[in-house]
Amino acid sequence: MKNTSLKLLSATLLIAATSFAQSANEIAKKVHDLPNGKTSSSTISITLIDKNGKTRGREIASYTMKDGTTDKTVLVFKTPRDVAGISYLSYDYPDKADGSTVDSDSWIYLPAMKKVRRVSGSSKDDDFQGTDFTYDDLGNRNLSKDNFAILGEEKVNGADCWILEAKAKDSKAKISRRVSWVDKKTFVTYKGEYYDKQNRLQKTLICENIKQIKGYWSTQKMTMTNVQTNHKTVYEVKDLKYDEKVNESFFTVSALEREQIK
Amino acid sequence: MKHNISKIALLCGLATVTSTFAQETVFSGNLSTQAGVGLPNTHHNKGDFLLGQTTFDGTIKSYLDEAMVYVNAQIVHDALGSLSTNGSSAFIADDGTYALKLREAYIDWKGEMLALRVGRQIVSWGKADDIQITDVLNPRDETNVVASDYNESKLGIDAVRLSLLTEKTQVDAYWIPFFTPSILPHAKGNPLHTQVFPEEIDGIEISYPEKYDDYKLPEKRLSKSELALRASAYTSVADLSLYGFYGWDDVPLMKYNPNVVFDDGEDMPATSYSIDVTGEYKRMYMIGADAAIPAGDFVFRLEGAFFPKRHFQTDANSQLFKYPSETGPESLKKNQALGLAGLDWTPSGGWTITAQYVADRVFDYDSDLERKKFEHQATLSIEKSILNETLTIMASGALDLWDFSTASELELDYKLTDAITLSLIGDLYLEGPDGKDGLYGEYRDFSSVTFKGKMAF
Repeated sequence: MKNTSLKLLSATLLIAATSFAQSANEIAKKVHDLPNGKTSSSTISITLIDKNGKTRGREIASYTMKDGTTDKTVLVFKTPRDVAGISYLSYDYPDKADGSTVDSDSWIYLPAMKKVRRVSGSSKDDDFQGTDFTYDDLGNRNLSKDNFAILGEEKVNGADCWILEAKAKDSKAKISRRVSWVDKKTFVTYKGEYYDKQNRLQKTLICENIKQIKGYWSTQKMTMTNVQTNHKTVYEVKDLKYDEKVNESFFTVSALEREQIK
Repeated sequence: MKHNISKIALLCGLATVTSTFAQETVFSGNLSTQAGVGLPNTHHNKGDFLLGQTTFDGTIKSYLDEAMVYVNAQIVHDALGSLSTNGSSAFIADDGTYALKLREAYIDWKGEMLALRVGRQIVSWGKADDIQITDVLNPRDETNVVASDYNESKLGIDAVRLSLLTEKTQVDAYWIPFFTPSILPHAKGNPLHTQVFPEEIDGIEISYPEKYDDYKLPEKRLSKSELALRASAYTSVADLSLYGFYGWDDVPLMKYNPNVVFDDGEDMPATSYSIDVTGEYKRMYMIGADAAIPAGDFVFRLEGAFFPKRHFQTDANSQLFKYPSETGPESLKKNQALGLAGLDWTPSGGWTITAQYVADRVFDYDSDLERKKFEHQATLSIEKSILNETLTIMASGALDLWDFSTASELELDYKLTDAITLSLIGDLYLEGPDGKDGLYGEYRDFSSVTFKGKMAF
């Protein structure tokens, strides 16, 4: 009888743990699948601030388009002038049915070389153009790369948030753990913490200027601070437009090579 | 009358406003200055300035609906007087100290599936880095080996490019009416001049062509045009291209003509012996293909080209002394095949590593040729950006696998601000272990260290 009770207790705990995990996965999926329009265009302004307060700026024209299940993105550097014209095209594909990831197709155009280069589409944990953001931080990190858990609940800027933990399955990942404060109503991230391989806090993220544009929740300012180096990056999205006609030919390799994307 | 003037002014104003809205013009440019000095192992060049240039580079892009005008020009001051021209790419001062270069100037239009580019343009073919396999459309400025850049050395060609575009394919057809030759180091102030055009060898005086039009250039006729075709496809599995070219080799073939003077009659010993060199450009054909195949953190690159019946330079000795009654031919026609296998690796952490193997074979080889039957080399390049991409370290090298001569370069680029980059570049050329020149040993006296400052605006 005692044995049966223990078994029952264990089963109950297991069911509770499983349902909690599912809930975390569901939240992560809702964050991942937040709608962002069939097309979008914007100007991205990036400010890098070093520990002495010295700033450097970058401006990038961004265009995105959904083509079936493929997310197509074109980025064109406008400033600084020495990298102006460098363009990046990527096709991102959804995970396979078995949960495994599919590498993106990526190309970069370098005006100095007058050439489009095929680039590796697998490495997403590198810093994005010298900023404190990685490609994964700015893109839609594949859900299959992490194990999710809910660490608790907390109010951020008046919004009730889940505290969602994403632990990298890859033990060699540069960021071992991401903790996000996710609005329970909108599933928009309000802030985040990023932990290095040794599980030490490495970066903090603050999201501001969160608005609905054409019905899509949009974060227009993100500040990522590397607390280990005191380097900071402010990432702002300007002139954000959804579901407006964008030139579909922009999302081709030949458009990159012709330098026709403004 | 006043009323009419007002109307015209209003219409002009409206027209201006309309065109202002429809048209977008962007100007960008940079100013760079660099000085390079010979390293202690460069014999007579030790401590000499081998490079001293200040360049203003300006680009205008003007977009009007689906069309674009693109102009890129440079004003160059060269402290060594090392600049020369090919007659079309640059206007050069007589002493080689100033140049006005029109690198590109074209009109580009794109329709639904067709696109047209007309004017001077630079085209990059192939998947190789800094090595010419199929990349034969543009000639190069070959007047400098110090801190030189393969891509910057390319010269625009005057061409019409008609393209057929779909989402994943592209076919480009080129008509190049006017031949543009490479620029050779004819300026007396150019450190390469005496190496490429020595005034004497073993006491024998040699007179070379002194400027571009001393060579026998193709006539400016429709029948002398160049034609080219590229077809490319971009897929998840691989990027693939096919190439065809019918044109001219960009470098002239040299004919060594003995000039024997008999002051006292031909049955007496010659009183002077010199060599007059003339040069001529020859037809060239090429078919080629390439592929870039992504695989995880890697991209594999393959490229191959076949040049049927290409003219190859014969060496001076065989031309002058092999045939008793007349001089030998300046070139022999042989088939040539070039192939490249390369690998790009971008592990995390801001590293970029590329490696290439290149093989070059002449079939039905003749020992009169100036080059070897088979040449092959390996290249390696490692690049790492640190300090939030303010400092970039690049190390690259090429190893000639036949004679083991090497070319290596170490470059440090530091971003003083977003606009200003300071660079320190070291170039080292070494002959093979047995003193064999191989592919790079002949440049050993151009090993150098260069300081460069550049501001983009």
